[in-house]
Amino acid sequence: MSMRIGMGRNSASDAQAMRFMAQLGIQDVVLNTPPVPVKNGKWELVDIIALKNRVEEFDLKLTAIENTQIDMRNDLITGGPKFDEQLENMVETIKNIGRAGIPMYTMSWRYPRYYRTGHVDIGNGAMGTAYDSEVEHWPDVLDFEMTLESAWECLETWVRTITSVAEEYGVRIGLHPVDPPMPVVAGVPQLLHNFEGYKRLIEIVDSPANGILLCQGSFSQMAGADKDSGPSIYEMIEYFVKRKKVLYVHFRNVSGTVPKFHETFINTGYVDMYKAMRIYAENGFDGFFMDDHVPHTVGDTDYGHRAKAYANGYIQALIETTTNTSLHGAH
Amino acid sequence: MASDFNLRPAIAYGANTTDEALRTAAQYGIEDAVVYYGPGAGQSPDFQDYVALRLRFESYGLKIIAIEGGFSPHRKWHDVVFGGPRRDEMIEQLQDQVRFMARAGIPIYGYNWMPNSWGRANPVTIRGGAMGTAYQWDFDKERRPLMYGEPMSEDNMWDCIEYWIKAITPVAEEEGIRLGIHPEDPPVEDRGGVPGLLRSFDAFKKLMSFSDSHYNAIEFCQGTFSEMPGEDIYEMIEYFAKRDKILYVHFRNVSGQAPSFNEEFINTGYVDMKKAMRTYRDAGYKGSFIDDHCPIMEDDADFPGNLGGYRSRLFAQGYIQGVIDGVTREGDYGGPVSTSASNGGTA
Repeated sequence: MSMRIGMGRNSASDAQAMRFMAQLGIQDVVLNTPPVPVKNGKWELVDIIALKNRVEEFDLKLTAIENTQIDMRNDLITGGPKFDEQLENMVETIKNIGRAGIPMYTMSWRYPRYYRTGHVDIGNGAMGTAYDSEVEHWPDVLDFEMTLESAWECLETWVRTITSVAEEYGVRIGLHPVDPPMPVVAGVPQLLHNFEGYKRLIEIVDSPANGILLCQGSFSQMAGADKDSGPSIYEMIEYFVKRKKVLYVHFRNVSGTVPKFHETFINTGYVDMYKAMRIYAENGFDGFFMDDHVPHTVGDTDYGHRAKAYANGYIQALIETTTNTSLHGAH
Repeated sequence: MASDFNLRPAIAYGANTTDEALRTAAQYGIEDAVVYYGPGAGQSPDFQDYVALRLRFESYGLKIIAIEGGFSPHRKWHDVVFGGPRRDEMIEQLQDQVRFMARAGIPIYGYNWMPNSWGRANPVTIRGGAMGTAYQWDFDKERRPLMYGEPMSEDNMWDCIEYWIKAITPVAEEEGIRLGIHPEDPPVEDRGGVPGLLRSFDAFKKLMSFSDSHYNAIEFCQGTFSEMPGEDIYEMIEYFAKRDKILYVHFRNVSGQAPSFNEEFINTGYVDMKKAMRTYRDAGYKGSFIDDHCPIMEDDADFPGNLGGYRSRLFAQGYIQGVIDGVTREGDYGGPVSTSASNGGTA
């Protein structure tokens, strides 16, 4: 069993930012929607290898690609007119990710995108993002009909198609929840907004390659996750970790669940992060944790170097104390 | 029970720190501050200065839990350290300083007994190109001139510190402010002909023997205690924490012990910081932990008051808060999760 420390970025181009990760001892790097050129609807092997080499220049390891550009997969998720074409191109892209030696591809199975409705002062001027369904004004984004059934059909087709490819090419696929986890967003029916949706997902194909990006923040925001009867966030973590479905974790905290919540510092939300960390460890989690959506604090960069350093230090300490081991082999 | 513990994060500042630095602590959940201030090279603060300092910090929601400073590195005060002709006069001035602090509402004064101040030699590159301070005894010994033209007597210095402790402790008791001395850093026998008096476990036991008052205690720089040759850091923590002699902790890590060592990121030095934190907890220590001497990271903005910029210090702060939460909570579960294999690292 090995629990490790990760960090995410959207590009590997900024050398200083890469050295920031190296200095903090990051073991697994995630690149979220990196600017790989889209050629004929897909990513080519040579470009992915260049990306991986770039990360390795800094003695870092590119463990996961998180999302490709949304217009490579919007119709795949919604069942739009280019469904077949996008499916085929994503299959080729996943093959290329595998050929490049990157072991994970994770993706948000949602359309249109992650969103919030504002920010709140979470103490002394630190700002967290916030969501309130009452103030949400998101116009419908689709110009064709999409039902819950058709949405499941898209996801099932994807999973049935991609899992064997992923197995063959040595890639594990993990799907990220819709965030905020609402059943309908901008007129689009959402599937991965609750425990039931995820249980159904992993049962489509029983394979290690059909997995989950456990955004603990989004799972914590799911209706009922704050209640024992929920199922609670702790129960959901245990369920999926036990079944070895979790590729890695977005380890962040929130004030509550939908329909209204805001993001907090890692140790000031409603989720007991120590208790959560123990559940991963007790159930043999073999993966990494990354900071995510850190608050904006005074003087910090847009990337949030300071807040990320703080959250990452906190996570490293929780991993080390919970498992009584050293992340960096020091003792 | 977790609720019995009171292990708290704290952060250190220069007295003229910035609005940004003060707001940073408030935002990151830190309520305790240590401020580098007090009697120094020039004119000493007066009562009003200490009050103004406290009020400024309080306006940001920060409580000054200690003033930390070294009068001993300044020649002005060397009659106290070496027993010069103006010793009693200087001690009276320092007694007044302690009274001012106490009456201004400062509960702890941490200082040092290092006429040479603290010292380092050539810094080294550590993880990812970050820079850590380092000390090399051979290098320093060759280059450092004798401070007073001849070696100073260690016996005399012990007599002087005993004289001082016996003069200052009653004032501290009367005023209700606890005093503690920082160890010699680097903890070596001699720098420039000045003995490193407080360089070992035994030296601190001896220091504590001069007065068994609650007000005669230690500014426990865990980093420096970790640098002491041949000593067991966990044993020293336990010994002094059990006797309630630890005022607060400089929670930093190093690669090894004197004569040569370098500073490290908080979880990559030789000291197992979670084991250290458990030792404080189990010995009944209740108090604060500051980040200290953080590595210099690339493109980091200076955080006035201590080594390391905002990113580096906040990484250490996050780690400190995580270790405190971890060791505070694990008792509810009967300890950490048992794992069969080592985790992540290569050793």
